[in-house]
Amino acid sequence: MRLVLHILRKDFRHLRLYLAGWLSLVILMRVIVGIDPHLTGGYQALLYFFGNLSPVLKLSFLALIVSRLAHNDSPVGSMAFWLSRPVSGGRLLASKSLFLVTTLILPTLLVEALFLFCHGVTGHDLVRSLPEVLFWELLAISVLAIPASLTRDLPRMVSFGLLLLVAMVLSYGTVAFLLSDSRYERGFFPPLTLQTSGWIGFSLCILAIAMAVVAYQYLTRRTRISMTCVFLGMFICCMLGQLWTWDFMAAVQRLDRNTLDAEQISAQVDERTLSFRRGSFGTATRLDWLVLQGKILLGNISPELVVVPERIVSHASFMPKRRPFIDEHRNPYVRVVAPSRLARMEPTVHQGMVNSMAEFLGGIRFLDAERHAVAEYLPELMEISEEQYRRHAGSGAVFSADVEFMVQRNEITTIRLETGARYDAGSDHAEILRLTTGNESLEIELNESEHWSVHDLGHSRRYVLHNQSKGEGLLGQEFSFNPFEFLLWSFVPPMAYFPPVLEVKRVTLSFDLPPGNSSVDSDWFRDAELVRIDTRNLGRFSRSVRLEDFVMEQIPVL
Amino acid sequence: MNAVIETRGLTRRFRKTVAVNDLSLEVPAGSIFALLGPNGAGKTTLIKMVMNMVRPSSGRATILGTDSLRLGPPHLERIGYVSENQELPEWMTVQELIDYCRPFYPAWDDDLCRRLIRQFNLPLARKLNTFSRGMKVKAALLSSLSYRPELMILDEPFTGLDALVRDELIRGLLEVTGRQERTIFIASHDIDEVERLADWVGVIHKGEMQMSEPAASLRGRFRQCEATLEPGQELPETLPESWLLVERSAQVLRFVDSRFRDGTGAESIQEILPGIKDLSVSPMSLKEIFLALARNWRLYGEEES
Repeated sequence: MRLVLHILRKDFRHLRLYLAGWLSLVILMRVIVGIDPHLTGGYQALLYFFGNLSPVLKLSFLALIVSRLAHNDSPVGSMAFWLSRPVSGGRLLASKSLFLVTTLILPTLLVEALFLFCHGVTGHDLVRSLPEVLFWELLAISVLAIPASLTRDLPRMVSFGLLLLVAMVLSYGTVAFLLSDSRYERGFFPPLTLQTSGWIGFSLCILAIAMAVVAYQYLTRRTRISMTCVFLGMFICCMLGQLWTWDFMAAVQRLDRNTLDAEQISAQVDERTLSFRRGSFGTATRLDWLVLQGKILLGNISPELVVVPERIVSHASFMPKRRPFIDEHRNPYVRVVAPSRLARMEPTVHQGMVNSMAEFLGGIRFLDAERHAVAEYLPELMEISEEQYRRHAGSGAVFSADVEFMVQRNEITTIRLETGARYDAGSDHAEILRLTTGNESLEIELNESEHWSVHDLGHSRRYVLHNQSKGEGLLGQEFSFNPFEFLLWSFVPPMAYFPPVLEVKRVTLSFDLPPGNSSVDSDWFRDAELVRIDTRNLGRFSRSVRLEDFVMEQIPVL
Repeated sequence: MNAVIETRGLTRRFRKTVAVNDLSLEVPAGSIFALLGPNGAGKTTLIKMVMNMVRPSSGRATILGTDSLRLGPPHLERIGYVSENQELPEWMTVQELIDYCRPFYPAWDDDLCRRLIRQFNLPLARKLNTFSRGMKVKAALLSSLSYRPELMILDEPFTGLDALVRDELIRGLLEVTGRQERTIFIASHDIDEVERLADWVGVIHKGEMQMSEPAASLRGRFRQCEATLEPGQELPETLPESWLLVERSAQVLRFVDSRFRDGTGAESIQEILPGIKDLSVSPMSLKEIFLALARNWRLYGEEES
């Protein structure tokens, strides 16, 4: 142990400037979040720029530190200084690992813990989040350690790392493609919880392979075998991720029977609501596809719960002994087509959700619903090509669909319309920073922090303005500012390398006077209060629905 | 013979190239063994296999009685290694290098270390990356001699160094090895470097061991011979294999006899070349012997090709 620490001290002395830079960056990334939100213009642009640059900088710094650490005493080749000294590979590995734990992982955990604590995350959530932060740190470091321990310098490490990345993407794509074809043949689509379990399993497998290969390389210095093991291991990880069967997330995210007894729920398609519409992707219409839409009626759901279909796998057997047509739809309900008049960052809301919110607030009327809500959107049951549709439109078929539903509960909290008013629920917080009242509008600036972890099913929230005495409300528009959410890479965890357990953002809510509505004036705003509607996901259940006499040409095409 | 290094059938292939081929060698304890061979002969590969830095393709090596593949920290505490190819932690100062190396060796001798610092004239506060090659070799030697290793392995340590630095390094080596029975194994392509030191010589060529024997015996059996022939005298069709670099210019025949025996050597030559007018036989230095061998291999190689 004495010599392990001795080597560690040597590495620390050598890399102390890199470590100082890296730690400053980690702290700075967190301090940015707390910078006064009233920054405007150039300062805000600078914050945006740095916010997006910092994850890349952090990852680069980390790659540089791991490279220097490994290449100083490289286990590759026969020229390293340590090879002729009384240092075993095991001792060197122990020292390097201890270095990574004490100088990179522990400080990050401390900074994150402090950051979470400062943003009001509860002790319970803190304890649940830190393993996630630890996992991301370990994964990033271990993956970087693979090319570092199998090469002699940084340029070679980068080249090998890129090669490994390409091999990995190709392996994953190939395995996914091959297996999806066979799944399609069998009509098997893994439940969403199993897919999440598979992703976690895949990440754990990558971590295990990375650790094993690095350890093997340090202990034996057989670089060619280690390289072979990496490529084989990556392929095995891809296979394992795809063929994963242990659905541990189903247990973690299980629907509580006291909340809803899923066994008692009946489900059927409301045939009167069935229609085909032209398929679309974003705002572009895909002319060669038709989408079957229709309501799914559920029985025995208590009124305080909301149930939305999350994934539908549909089967249509158009002729006896013919291969059935199978289709899979993810989140078929929440997909909303944004009309071009809506601003890019404006969250969209459809009429069904507006009705649901209005009902929840005691049957109020949203005065600006027409302005801010799009038409009601029905769940998508099946997507079929124009060519298939033409071929089978007149044939009778049996249509069946396996539907995964998400059970949600809306929680309503009222916040006083004054500066400094707060919303606190567990680890989630919001505070009104500023109110700007104009003649025809009200603007509310909020500072929000929301915690979530892999254990949680997540939730969504929306703010509306409610004038109780008049029984009216305004949906308004929402603009958010998060320095880490501007460019794409911030959304991709391995690239952003930003433990996604807490989101801190500035939100601007803008409530404008509805045109031609004289009932809303400054008095209306004075009597109004801000209502936060939290839609919490409680769990999933599955049901099958079936249509025996399914003839497509009898269904209207809109 | 008590061997400190012993190899049996040691072979190392790099794809199609055979760097060391079925090499067997014994380095006697207490000797200063010079492994000589031209560049690319396989000296470095041999040393790396002995030090377990490179795995042999076949065969085995033992060092200090231990299989080289099992060489671990307890054995490396007794071995010093300096190579021209070795990477040094160049970001360190000399003092930091000493501080870093000291805890690894229970036998580290601070007095010897101080003496060597003075003798090598090494500035303690300077970083190694500001040093010339000679100074770096001195620092490496300092870090490898200060624990008085039983076996010192040097791979081309003096290449490219001026005579003064080389002399300093050799004196440093002798300082450590002179007092107790310690073994030095030194590989070089330049006999000048080791002529003063070596008491045992091995010669390697194209990965194969050509000879290994005490320097005195080598000097004893190599002779530069010059015979003056009678006008018109023909040479026998076959000359002894032990005659190297045979050259004839007019009546003078020059060659190196690699199996010369004092007392009977001249008579043997006269038996093969009867009627020669004059024969002069002169002893050779190690350098001359090595050059003769190297030239002979080159000629032999050219004929082969």
